[in-house]
Amino acid sequence: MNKKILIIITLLFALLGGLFFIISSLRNITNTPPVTQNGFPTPTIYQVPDKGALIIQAQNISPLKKTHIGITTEEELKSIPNISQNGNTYSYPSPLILRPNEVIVENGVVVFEKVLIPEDQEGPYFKTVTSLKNAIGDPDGIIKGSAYYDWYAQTLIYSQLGLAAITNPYTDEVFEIHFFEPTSVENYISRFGGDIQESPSGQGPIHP
Amino acid sequence: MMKKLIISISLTIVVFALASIVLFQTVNAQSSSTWKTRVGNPPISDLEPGTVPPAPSDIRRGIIDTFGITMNGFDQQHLLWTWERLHEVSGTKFPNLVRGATIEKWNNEYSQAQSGCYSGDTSLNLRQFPGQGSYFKFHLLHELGHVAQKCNPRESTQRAAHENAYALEGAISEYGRQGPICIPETIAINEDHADTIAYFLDRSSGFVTTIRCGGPSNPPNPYINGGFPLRAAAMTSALLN
Repeated sequence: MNKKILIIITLLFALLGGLFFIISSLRNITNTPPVTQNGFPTPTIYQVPDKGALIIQAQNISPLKKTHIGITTEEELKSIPNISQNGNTYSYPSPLILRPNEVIVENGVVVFEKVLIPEDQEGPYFKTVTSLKNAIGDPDGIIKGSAYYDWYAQTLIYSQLGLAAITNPYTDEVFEIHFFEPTSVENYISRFGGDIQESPSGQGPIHP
Repeated sequence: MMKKLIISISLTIVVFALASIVLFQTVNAQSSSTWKTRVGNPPISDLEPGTVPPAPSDIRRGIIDTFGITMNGFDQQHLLWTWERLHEVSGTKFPNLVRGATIEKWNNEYSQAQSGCYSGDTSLNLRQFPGQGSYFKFHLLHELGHVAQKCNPRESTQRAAHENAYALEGAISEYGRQGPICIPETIAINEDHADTIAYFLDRSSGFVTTIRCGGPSNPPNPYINGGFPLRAAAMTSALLN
């Protein structure tokens, strides 16, 4: 009996030792300094993500998005819970009763989706401008002023990635994200930029 | 010898198991803590006005030192009203939401605007309403309410809860209802939010935010007798709890 236990323990220690050896070896490999030639370090090759990869990253930036732009069909939209239709615009509930999430359909296929980002900072769906920029870089255009959120809100337009975000520059919050087919800034504004409302004064409204 | 070895291995396993349980519970508690605050509606608390100490000789400096708010161009009377009002709401979270604001006296005697946040910006341009302490004090809260609303994360002023209350309870004031009809650049829901904050903090105020093309109206404070319970719950959560 004791002999069996001794064998099992020995095997366990051997297994642990083996694992330790493998992990140590792997760490040594990853920590190996670059090979030098003539005293100069070998240049590190940074992989710049191609546009296609960035588009995929942008289109998957929020798990709240329900459709695939250019792929999801009008028929498939009907599976979204509590979705309602008004012409070619479909709405489904967001955190705000008065501003639902929206999907626009053209020729039977989704061409635009608007997703509201919840305000719960500890929640899984919260987004900041910093996290957005870290993921997909700087926008192609920034426009100040929103018809819904007010004069201070900024729309960051990543037209080539098919994404725009309405944000609060003072708090770093993302209020909502728009998804569409990659296009130009001008085309996004004319087709889907209905919320953009630049304040003439660039400031808040004049009160009585 | 063998016994000791088995005991030490068993102890190690027990320690690891206990550590795993503790770690799991800690992570679980952190992930569920945000939901604990969202169950049910918080009770509507009565607001106890804060004690107002005697104003210092340099009131402007006193406001900066106590509340971190800089007021430029205001006369002694308006500085005193500001000193009083900020102390009256000092038992709430409101002063912290507007700490760092800069308020400029608005030279146009008819207008005021919220124009920025904290870092070097002018937060407010505020009219000196002459001879009307209660009116000025209410407007101070309303305009600072915009600062609280736009310059802090939405959660701080319960923006979503307010907007949903707006949808379900309607506007809290005439200004929240039809401000944009008279002043095109205003957004009703944002003016309503600022009024929602101001009326909550100033229970003595009625509908004092008359709009440019509207007549004066002074019904009682909308929160009395249990009015606007969704807003009251949201403001209790944002400003008191």
